[in-house]
Amino acid sequence: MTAARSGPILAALAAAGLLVLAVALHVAVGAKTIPPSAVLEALWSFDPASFDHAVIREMRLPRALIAAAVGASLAVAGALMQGVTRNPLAEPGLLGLMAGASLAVVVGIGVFGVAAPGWQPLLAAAGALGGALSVWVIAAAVPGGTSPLALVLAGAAVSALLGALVTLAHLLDPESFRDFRVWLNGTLAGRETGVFLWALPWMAGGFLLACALARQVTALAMGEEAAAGVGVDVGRLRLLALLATVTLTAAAVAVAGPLAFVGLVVPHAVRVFTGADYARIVPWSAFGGALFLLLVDTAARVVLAPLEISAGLVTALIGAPLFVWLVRARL
Amino acid sequence: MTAAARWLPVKPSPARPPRPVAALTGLVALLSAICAASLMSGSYPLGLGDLVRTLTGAPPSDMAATVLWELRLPRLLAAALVGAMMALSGAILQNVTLNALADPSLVGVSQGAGLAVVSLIVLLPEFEPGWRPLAALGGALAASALIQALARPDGDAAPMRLILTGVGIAAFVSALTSVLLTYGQFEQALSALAWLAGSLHAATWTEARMLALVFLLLLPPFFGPHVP
Repeated sequence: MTAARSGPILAALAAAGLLVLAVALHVAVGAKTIPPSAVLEALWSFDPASFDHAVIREMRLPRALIAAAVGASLAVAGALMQGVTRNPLAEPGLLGLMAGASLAVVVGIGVFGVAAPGWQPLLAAAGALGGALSVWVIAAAVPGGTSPLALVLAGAAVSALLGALVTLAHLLDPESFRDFRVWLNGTLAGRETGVFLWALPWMAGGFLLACALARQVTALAMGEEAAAGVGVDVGRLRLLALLATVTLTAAAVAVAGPLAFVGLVVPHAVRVFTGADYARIVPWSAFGGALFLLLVDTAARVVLAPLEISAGLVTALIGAPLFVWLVRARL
Repeated sequence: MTAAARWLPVKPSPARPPRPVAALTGLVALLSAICAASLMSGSYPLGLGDLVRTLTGAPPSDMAATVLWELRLPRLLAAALVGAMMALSGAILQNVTLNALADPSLVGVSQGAGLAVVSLIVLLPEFEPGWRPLAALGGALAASALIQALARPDGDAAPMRLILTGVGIAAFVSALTSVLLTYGQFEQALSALAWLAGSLHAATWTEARMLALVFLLLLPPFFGPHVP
C-alpha cells in the first residue's frame, strides 16, 4: 500500500479514535463524574447492582449516541443544502425546515394528540418539507431569484410566521407549552430512546442517499450548465437532495428539537480540510457533526453545572458568529 | 457577486403619490373610522352617539367616561403610535439597505432591545418598569452599532451584508435572551416572557404620553432635505 492510498485510511482511523474519545468524555462527565474505568466496566462487564453502571447504560450512553446521530444528520443536511443551492449560508434552521418541523410536531402531538413515537419523524418531515418549499417559492418569486440573501430573508420570515403559530398553539393549550418549552430550544436532555429508534432508519436512509448524490452535487457546485454538460439531471438531483435534506432534518428535529446552526458550522469547518469535493465533504460532515454535537452537549452539561444549558442555545451562540464571519468574508 | 445590491431592490417610486390630497383624505378617513370602531368595541360596548357624547364632555354614564378616557383612549393612542413608529423604522431601514424585505425585527435591532429589557427584568429586578424604554433604546443602539461595525461597508454587496449580518446578530442575541429566560429566576423570567410576547393590554396614559413625545421629537428629520 502506497503512502498516498494509506492517507485516507489513517485519517478515518484518527477520526474514529477522536469520536470514541468524545463519546467517552461525554459519558464520563456529568452531574456525577464517573471514572473511565467504570465506564469501560459498564460496557464490557455490566453489573446490574451498580448505580454507576445503570446511569451509563440507561442514560448517558443513549444520550451520547443520540447526540452523535443528530449532529451527523444535521451536518450532512447542511452540506447538501449548501452544495445544491450553491449558497454558503444554507442551513436547515435558517431556511425554514426546522421551524416547519417544530410546528408540525407541536401541532401533531399537542393539538391532535398523535402520541406514537413512530409518527414523530413523519410529522416532522411533512413540516420540514412545507417550510422548505415555502421558503423556496417565496425566494424564487422575488426579482434576482434564489440568491443567498433572498433565501435567508425568506427563511427568517417563514420561521417567524411558523414560530408565531407555535406560540398560538401554546396559548391555546398551556399544557403543550410545558411539554415542548425545553424541546423547542433544541436539547439532548431526557430524550426518549423510543423516538430515537424510530428516527434512526430515516437518518441512515438520508445519509446513504446523500452519499449517493455527493458526486453530482460536486458537479452542480461548478454551475448548472457544467453539471448538465457532464450528464447530471439537475432537476432530479435537486428533488432527491431535497428529499435527503428533509429526511435528515426531520429525523433530527423529531429526536432533539431544532438545533440551530449545526448544519452551517460543521460543513464549513470540514471544507477547510477536504476541499470542494462532496464525495469527501458528506462523510466527513457526518463525522464532524457527531463530534461537534458530542462536545457541545458535554459543554452544555458542564458550564453551568448543576444546571444544564439547552444544546440548541450553545450551537446558536457558536454558529451565529461564524455566520456573521461568513457574510463578512465570503459575500 | 457584483449584482448584489440589486437583489430585491426597492422599486423606484415617484417622489410623491399622483394625487396627494385625495390619498391623504382617504387615509385620514380610514384612520378615523378604525379609531371610532376601536373605541366603540370591547366588553363594555359603546354606541356611536355615546362615543361622541363622552368625547365632547357629556358622557351617558360615569362608567362610559372611565372606560373611554382611562382604558380605551390611551390604548388606542399607544397602538397607533407604536404602529406608526414601527412602520417608519422599517421604511428607514428599507431605504438605507435598498431592500424591500428589511425590517427591524428581522435584522437584530428588535432583538437587541429585547435582550436589554429581558436582562433588566431578570438580572436587575430592583429597577422599575420605567427604565425599560431606556434599556430598550440602549440595546437597539448597541445591536445596530455592532451590525454596522461587523458588516464590511465596501462594494456593491454592502446593503446585503448589512442585512445578513443583522440576521446573524439576531440569532446570537435571541439565544442569549433564551438563556436568560430559561435559567433566570422563574418569576422574573415569566414576567419577561409576558413582556416579550408584545401586548398593548396594559397601555396607560404614561405610555401614550411618552410615545407621543418621542414620536414628535423624531418626526421632523423625515421632512428634512432629500439625500440622494
